[in-house]
Amino acid sequence: MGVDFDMTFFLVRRMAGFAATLFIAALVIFLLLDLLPGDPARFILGINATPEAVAALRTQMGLDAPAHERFLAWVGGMLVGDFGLSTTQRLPVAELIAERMAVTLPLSLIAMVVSVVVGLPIGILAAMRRGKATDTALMVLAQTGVAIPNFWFGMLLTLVFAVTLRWLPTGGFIPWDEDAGAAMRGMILPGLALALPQASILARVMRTALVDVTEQDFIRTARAKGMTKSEAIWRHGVRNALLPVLTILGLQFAYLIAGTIIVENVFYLPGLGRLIFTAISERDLVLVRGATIVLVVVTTATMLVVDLAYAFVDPRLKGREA
Amino acid sequence: MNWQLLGRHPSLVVGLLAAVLFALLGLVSLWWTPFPIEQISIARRFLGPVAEHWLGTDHLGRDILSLVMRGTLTSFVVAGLGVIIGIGVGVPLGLAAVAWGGIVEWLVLRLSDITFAFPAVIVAILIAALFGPGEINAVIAIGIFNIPVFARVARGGALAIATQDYVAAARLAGLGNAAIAARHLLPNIMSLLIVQGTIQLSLGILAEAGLSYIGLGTQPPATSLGLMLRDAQSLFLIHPWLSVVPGLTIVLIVIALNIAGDGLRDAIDPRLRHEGLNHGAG
Amino acid sequence: MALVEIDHLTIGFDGHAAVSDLSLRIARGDRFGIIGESGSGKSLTALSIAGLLPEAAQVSGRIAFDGTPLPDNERAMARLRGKRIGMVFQEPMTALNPLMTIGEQIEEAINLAGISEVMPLALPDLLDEVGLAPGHVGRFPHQLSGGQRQRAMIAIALASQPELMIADEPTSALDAITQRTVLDLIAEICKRRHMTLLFISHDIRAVAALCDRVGVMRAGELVEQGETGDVFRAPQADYTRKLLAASRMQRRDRPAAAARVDGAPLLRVESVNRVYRHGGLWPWRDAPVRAVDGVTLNIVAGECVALVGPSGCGKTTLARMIVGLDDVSAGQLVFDGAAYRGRNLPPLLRAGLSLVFQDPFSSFDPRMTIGDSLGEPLHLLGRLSRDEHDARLAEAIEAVGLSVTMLERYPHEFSGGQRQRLAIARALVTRPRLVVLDEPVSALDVSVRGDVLNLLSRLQEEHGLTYLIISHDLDMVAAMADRVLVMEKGKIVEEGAPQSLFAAPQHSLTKALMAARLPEIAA
Repeated sequence: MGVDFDMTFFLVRRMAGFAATLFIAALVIFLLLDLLPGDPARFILGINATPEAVAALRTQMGLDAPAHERFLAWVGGMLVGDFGLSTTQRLPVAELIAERMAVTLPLSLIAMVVSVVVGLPIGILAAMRRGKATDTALMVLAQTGVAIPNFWFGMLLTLVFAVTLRWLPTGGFIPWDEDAGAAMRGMILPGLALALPQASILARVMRTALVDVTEQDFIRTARAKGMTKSEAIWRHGVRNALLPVLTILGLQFAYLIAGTIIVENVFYLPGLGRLIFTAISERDLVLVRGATIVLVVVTTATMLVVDLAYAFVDPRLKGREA
Repeated sequence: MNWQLLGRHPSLVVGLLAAVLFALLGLVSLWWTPFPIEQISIARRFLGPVAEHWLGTDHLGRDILSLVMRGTLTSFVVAGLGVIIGIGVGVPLGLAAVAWGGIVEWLVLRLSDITFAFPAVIVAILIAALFGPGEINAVIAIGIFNIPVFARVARGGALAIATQDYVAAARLAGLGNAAIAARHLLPNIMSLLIVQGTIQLSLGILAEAGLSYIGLGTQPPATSLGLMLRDAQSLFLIHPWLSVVPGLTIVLIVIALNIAGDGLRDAIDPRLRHEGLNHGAG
Repeated sequence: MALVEIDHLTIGFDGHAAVSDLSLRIARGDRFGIIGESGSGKSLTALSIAGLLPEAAQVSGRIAFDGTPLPDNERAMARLRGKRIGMVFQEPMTALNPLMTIGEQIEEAINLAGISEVMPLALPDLLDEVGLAPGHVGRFPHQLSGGQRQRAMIAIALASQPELMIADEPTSALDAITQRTVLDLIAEICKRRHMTLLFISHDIRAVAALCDRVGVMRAGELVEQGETGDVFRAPQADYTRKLLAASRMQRRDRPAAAARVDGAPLLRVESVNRVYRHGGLWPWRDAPVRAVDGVTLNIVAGECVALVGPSGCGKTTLARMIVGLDDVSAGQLVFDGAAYRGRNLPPLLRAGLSLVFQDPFSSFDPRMTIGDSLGEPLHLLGRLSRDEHDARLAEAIEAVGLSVTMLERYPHEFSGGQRQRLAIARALVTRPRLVVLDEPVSALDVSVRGDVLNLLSRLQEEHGLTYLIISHDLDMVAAMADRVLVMEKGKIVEEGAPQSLFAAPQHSLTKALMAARLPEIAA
């Protein structure tokens, strides 16, 4: 027994929950897309195709098998990295997604790092200067930042830094292996556009959390030990305030990947979003299915990681329920 | 809510007034706009702000003020319906989780976990793949996104209420779970729901803009603020004005709603601050 | 020269004075107690000495420590309290940082006191002095019991070897036995270290036992101060007399016929068990907890039975099963001849027993009128006519000495004592035979406890009620009960009439409870 046992138990339970969520999510996606009216084989071959040709393609695409077999085949394939063949591009879906992830993932990472590095210190500063002019100014900024749609902010950034100042490209993407520097430069504006609202939310949450913690009894204890108020907040407040912030952080990061889809559009980045839109318009369901499940996996995995991080930071974990 | 309360929270008054003003502006567009929104006039396109067209005209010569008014309406309606779906489904789930507990609570929590795994964009993508894009698509996507948010807020608030002795007293008085949820839990988490509703409304307006911008939401000939930005996308390098007006409108509406939400939260109960889920839309 | 000199201290919030024109002296080596009820300004007075008042407070007057006025500079004030003043607060759980071990938190206090060169020695000594084991160093606050946490808090306060220790209600969050040991620990440390103590409490007996000088505060004013013996022997202020009277609980006189112990039992509890399983789907993870373990008891109509025991002994769980809020795991309950297992108590039977909750502030829905809350149990009687419904409410609210017009009001318009009367009215509205009282007065200010207990006695006589009182307050139990049951770890370990039981306790728990009892204040 003891802490280690509890920790293992907690890990096992969370991993099981993660797997169960993914399984059900996969089922939902599969059922939704399976319900789709119309026959994908006929759609690919056009209206003039002979019934024999359609039937042949159906067999080839595995559409003849009962739904539960197709579902299990799909899930089983994904477990070994086989997401099936794109019906329109005739390429492995896994390969297509991996290629696009080279844009989407670094973009989200940049946005995460920027939002944390900018947002948390601003929140802490505002909380320490609560009620003063600094606090008000920072919170007005954050209030505005929260309200700005990230894709519109991307447009404004392009106008200023790409069109007027000509410091950075307006859009497009040069692959990492061709010119990593150029690829990075192409990420800066979209990264900033994504980070702004996130950083603003983080700053607000951080400030609220820290102000709340400041009113707790243990801050008074720390002051009774001989600390000034700001010393007490630094040494005891910030760490405690980070716990609620972490929860919000998890949700934000989880949705960040999905958010990149929108911003990619502004900068003509060949990310996952573009892939998905093309797939939808071409009714490439295998590809839509693969791309959405990947997004769901990333979202859920991010939440899991944050949950686990929380557990390691907070010693009161034992016996804590979802 | 009484009037003295408003007097003590000027930011609440300002935010609420501004939000109502925008909503009214949208509502008016049903009966009257400076120009019919469909009126295309290629000769008069790309006008800046002039006496006749206060906010100029777009690439088809349509009056931007008229478009913004109607677009504001669409944004409010889509986001509002999303909140209604979220409250309508989420709150009963959250309350049931607390009133019944046990397996019901477990199911609600797992359901909300699974729903959280689907950001609004992904839901919209799936629906678009099924039925094609449209306003309904955006409403459903935002609504589904709101469900677990309200379920969690309702559960969190109701959990705190359920430990109160008056709930035990109601059980002693022979009230069942449903009666307790309706008589005691719901009225006492109302303020929490109003605050969260305001937050979700502003998030919904942002989400609608994003979805319409990538072509999954509102479709022409209808218009929305996000769709105006989509139309401006290919032109904004030459005609930035086209993207500035709808963008700023979104920003102002969302700021107004957020200020109103913050003000409400402080006015109703300063202790509510940590309860809400203050996260971004997908 | 006094160590602490306060002259004309006034503390206000938004123009309302919370402390007004307070002056007092605490001499070096004194143990000074401030007695007062909630809202009397006693805690604010204590915080002002340490410079820890909320920022919103407007303060005037003069406070001097060791002859020097308190510094205005925040840092200087912080260093002063860090080195020369130690503080212990009421709620040790929230007063400790949940993310740091006890050891880290004590070490930090030692470092801040600027005596870190002796630290390797200081920590073990401190732990030993407050009665903590070396093994507690690595524990987090949530891994300790309430008493251990308060010991850790005292260690933090002592770390700087302060001249003054301020203890603000240090024991009111602890159970009776722990309360006494912590009080004894504070007394012992003060004596050994010749430390000056400022002790803040609502418990007049704790102050009497610990302090050599006392001040009595009411509504922000110091109504009386002096040597403990003098003040309690010949109190000058009416308020002090009232508090003293409330602390000396008189056994009520009951006609001998009232409790027919040989009568037929109204309630029978037959070998009742309540087992809680944790770990959900993994039953092997935690051993099941036996909250109630094979309890059998009878309550005869007209009796007043008290169930006493430390917190966590299962007395509340037992009460919850009796009133039908929880189910027995094994055994059964029989009320008025009908057997039930807890929540399956049928409505008409439910109407025959009721419960009065401990906390009058949480027992009314803030969004419902008193009338609606009081009328809720009437559902149990089936459909009543409007007139009969109103008549029942009027009867109940008048029985507790309040007026019918109050039915239209909301809970926040009433004081704690009034709310407890209303809670009693709600318990009576169905005309029950058995009323379960869960700590009926412990959440109330001392001065109104007597009134509520008198009301309960009167109602019992008038309506022929049967009472089951759940409490840890032995004095209240001794005054009220015909028969006392002592409960420990889910079992009833001793039983008897209060006079004989408390005079000659047999079981170790009863003995410990009696020993923890603070002495009565001599008249």
